[in-house]
Amino acid sequence: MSAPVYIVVGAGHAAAAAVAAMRGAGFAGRIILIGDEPHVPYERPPLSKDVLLSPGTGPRPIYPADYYATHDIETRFGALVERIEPAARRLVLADGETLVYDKLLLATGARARRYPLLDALGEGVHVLRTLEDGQGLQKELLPGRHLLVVGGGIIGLEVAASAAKLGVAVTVLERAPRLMTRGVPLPLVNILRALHEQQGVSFELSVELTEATRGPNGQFHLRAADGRTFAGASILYGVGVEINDRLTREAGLALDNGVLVDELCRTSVPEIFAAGDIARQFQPFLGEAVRQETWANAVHQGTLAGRVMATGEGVAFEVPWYWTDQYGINFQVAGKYEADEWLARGDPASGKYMLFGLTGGRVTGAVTVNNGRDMKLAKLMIAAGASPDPALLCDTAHELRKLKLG
Amino acid sequence: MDKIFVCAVAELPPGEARRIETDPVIAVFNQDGEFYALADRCTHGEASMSDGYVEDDCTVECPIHSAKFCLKTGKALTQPATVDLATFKVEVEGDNVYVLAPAQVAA
Repeated sequence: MSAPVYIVVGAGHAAAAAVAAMRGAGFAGRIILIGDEPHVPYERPPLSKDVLLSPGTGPRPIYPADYYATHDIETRFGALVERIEPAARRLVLADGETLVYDKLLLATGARARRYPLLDALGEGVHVLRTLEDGQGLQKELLPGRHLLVVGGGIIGLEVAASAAKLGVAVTVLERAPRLMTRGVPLPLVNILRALHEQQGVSFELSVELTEATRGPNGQFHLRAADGRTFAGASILYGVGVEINDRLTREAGLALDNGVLVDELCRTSVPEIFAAGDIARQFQPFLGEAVRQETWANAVHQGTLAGRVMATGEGVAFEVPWYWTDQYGINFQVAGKYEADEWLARGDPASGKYMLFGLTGGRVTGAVTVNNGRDMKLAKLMIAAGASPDPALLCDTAHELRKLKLG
Repeated sequence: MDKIFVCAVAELPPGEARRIETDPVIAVFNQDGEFYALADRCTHGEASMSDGYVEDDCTVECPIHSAKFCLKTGKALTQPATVDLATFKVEVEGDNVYVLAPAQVAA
C-alpha cells in the first residue's frame, strides 16, 4: 500500500500551520503544499508595517525556507490549481501536473475586494494583500506626498499609521458614519481615531465616492456624493475581501458566506477540510458561526485541520483574538466586539491599560493597549464566562490573577 | 562568566519577571518558586519578554503576538516565533537572585 497523500492548497498562515501540525502529530505520508504566490509561506502582518516603513524589506518567512525540505514537505510555489475533481480525489495544476490526494485542505484565503471606480485610475492605486502590493505601495510613501486611504478599517488604519510615520500626509475616507465598522469595539475605535489625529491623519466619514479622476499633474481627485472633494498623489484602498472559493465551488462544498466547516474543520465532503479566511465555523465564545480574517484564526484553524487530518483529534477552541500594531503601540482585542458596557482598568494616560467588555455582568470582550500580559487573563475570563466584581476588575491594586474565573 | 545581581528574592514573586539592562537585555522569571533567565527581546517582534505572561507549564508568552517560549530551554514553542531565545543560568544566594552571563554580556 502506498503512503497516504495529504495536499494543502494555499500557502498562507493556515497552510503553513497545517503542514507543521501534520508532521508534528507524526503523519509520515506525503505532504504537498501548493501556493500561487512565488514565495515560501510568509507573514502578512508586516506588510502594513515593516514592509512600508523600510524600503527593500523582503518576505518574512513563517518557517525558515529550508523547513519544508527538512520536514519532507513537497512544495509547489507559484503554482496554480486549474481544477479539482472531487470524485477522483484529484487536482490538476495549470502546468498539467495531476495530483491525487487522500485528504485535501483548502486554505486558499481571500483577496482584496476590488473597487472598480478606483481601479480604473490605473497606476498609483493600491490594495494590500501580498508582499508585492506592499513593496509597490512603499515606493510611493515619500515625505510630503499625500495619500488617500479609502476604507477606514484595520488595513486602512495600519497603512495610515505607517504612512504618517514616514511624513506622508494622510486622509482616510470611510463610507460609514464611523470607522472600523467590523470587528472593533467602539471604545477602541475612539482611541485609535484620537491617536491618528494627534499624528496629523485626517478622517472624512460618510463618504460615498461617485467620481474618481486623474488630473494633468498626475494628482488623483475623488468626489463624494455630498460634493466633498479630495486630492492625493496615491490611493490605498481596503474595503474588505472576497474569499478565494473557486475550488470550493467546483468541489461542491457547502458554502454560506464561507466554506461551512464543523468543529474539526471538516467540510461537507468527507476528505476535504478548510481553514483560515475561507472557513466559517461555529465559535462557542461568540455563540455564532463566523468567518474570521485574522492571523490567530488562520494559525489556529490550520493547526486544528492539520492535526485532525493526521490523527482525527481536534484541539480546544480559542477565544477569538487579534492584534493591531499602530505607531509602535500594540492593541489587542478578544471576544465579542459589542458589550453592555466597557470598563477601563489602568490609566489611559500611562499608555498601558485595558478595557473589559461586560454583558449581563459577564466578561465577554477585552481590549489591551500595550498590556498583552493581561490579555492572557482576559481570554481566560471570557472563556470561563467570568462575572467578577466590576470594582475589583477596575482596581489595578487588585491582581487580575486573583479574581475568580467562574 | 559574570555574576550579575538581579534583585532580592522577595522582589521577584511567582509569575513575575525582572528586566536587567545588560547587553543583550536579560529577563529573569519566577515560575512557581523556580528562577529562569532568557534573552529579553522576543525573537519575533519588538517586545520585552519580561512583560510576558508566565504560565504554569513553565512557559512565557510574548506580550504582543503571543509566541510561547520554554522557560527552561528558551525553545520557541508556538507561532509566530520560530527562533529560540538564549538562556542564562540563575543562582540564588541567600536572599538574592543572580544571573550568570557570559563575559561578553555587558551589565
